[in-house]
Amino acid sequence: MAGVVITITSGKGGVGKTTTTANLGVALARRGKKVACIDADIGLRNLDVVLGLENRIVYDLVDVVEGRARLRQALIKDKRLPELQMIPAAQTRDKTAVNPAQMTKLADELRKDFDFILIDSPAGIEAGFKNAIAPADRVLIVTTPEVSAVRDADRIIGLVEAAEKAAPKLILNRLRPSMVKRGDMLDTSDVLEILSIDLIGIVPEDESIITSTNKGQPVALDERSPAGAAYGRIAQRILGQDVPFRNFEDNANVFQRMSRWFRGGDHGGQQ
Amino acid sequence: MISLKGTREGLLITLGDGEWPDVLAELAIQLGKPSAADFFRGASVRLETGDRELTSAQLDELEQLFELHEMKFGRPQIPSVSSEYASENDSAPRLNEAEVIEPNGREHVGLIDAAMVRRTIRSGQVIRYAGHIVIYGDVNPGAEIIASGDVLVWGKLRGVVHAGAGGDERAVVGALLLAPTQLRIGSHIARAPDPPRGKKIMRGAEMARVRDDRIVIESWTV
Repeated sequence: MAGVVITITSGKGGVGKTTTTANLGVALARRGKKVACIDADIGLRNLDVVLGLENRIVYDLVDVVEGRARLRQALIKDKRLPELQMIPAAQTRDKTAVNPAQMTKLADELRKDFDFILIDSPAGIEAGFKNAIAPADRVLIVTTPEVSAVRDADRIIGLVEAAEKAAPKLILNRLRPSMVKRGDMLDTSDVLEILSIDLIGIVPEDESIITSTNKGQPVALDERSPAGAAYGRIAQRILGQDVPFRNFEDNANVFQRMSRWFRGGDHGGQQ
Repeated sequence: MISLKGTREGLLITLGDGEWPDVLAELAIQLGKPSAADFFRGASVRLETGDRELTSAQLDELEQLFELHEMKFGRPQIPSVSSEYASENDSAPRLNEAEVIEPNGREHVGLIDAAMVRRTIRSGQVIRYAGHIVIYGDVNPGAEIIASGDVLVWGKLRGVVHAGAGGDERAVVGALLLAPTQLRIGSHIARAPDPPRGKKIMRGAEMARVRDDRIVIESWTV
């Protein structure tokens, strides 16, 4: 097995990287893929909480890198989904505890046993981001429709391009259709116009995210909620399926930029 | 008293007549202008001293000034500083006018002194060039373009742009969508009027230039 490493990053904090990582992990695992999620936010770990696995942590990322634990010991199995496992970040250390070469080595180990390795990047453009991006085959940029988040996403895209990674794809998170309709929020075409990268998914604002995060029950476990369904569609696109974009905002421009990136070669185009 | 010129080899500074403290002060002012500061950073300096003989102490002062602006200055060997020589070494031919690229010389447009950049310039990225800059792509908010000559953007210009950064007031800035966060030409600074939120304005290609000592924006016609 040669797994694909996908790093989820954003620049700005609080736009939903960890929630996205957890839910894409769940959505991919529900589709029968073996998924390992790595929390690269050393010192500020959250992914374990969002996945509801906090109380099962014995060893962490830094323990593995520094040789105190074998990889297998640090991998926590999700009790709900046998295909999903995670490696937590260390909470008592900081970003300098790991370097990009060690992250790459770790990811390469995981590639042997997993279909997808999802790396939850910390906010910022410093060491933690560089660690998270080093092993990436693909990069997903998460932004919200706010000017500051888009600005930081633009900065991050520049850095991803400079690192000579494949062109990143965009997840537009927490879109509020009602606000877009009133003209009070940037719409999808505004964001894409600035960032000029391909869109892989739009996640609408959904209150069930907050309750699910607090309970450690990712919404993607149940794809009947709007956000859960959105993560399901992104997972399908990651798997190369051609899933039409849902129209949250009556805007034809969304359809003009169908993502081709994750799509397999034998799929026909759909415009 | 002082003239600054961009050349192929770097920045040529000619020190004219005047009392040394005045000359030094004038140079400090020129280099410290907000319009110049960004542009000169990292430039290598050649010195043209005219009839002036510089003492070691004066060279020290110059060196400190250049260091402050992060400019590279090959200090001439004492006592070899004659009126005839640029800095660095005695075998270097004196720069004559023919070698000097006048960034503002219209006759040079398009031949040697333009850089073409074919990508989106994103937040945090800076393009700096001693000459004209042509961007084939967008310049996003948070990006900076600094040229000693003109800046032309075949795309949307939303970042900070500085044309004529060496002090050339004849430089222009053109873009298919001219909506920079801040626009500077020479020593003039203008900021985009706060746009009415929500509505997108398509005005067509526009060009900014200095007229009557202020920056004006006109539709881009040749």
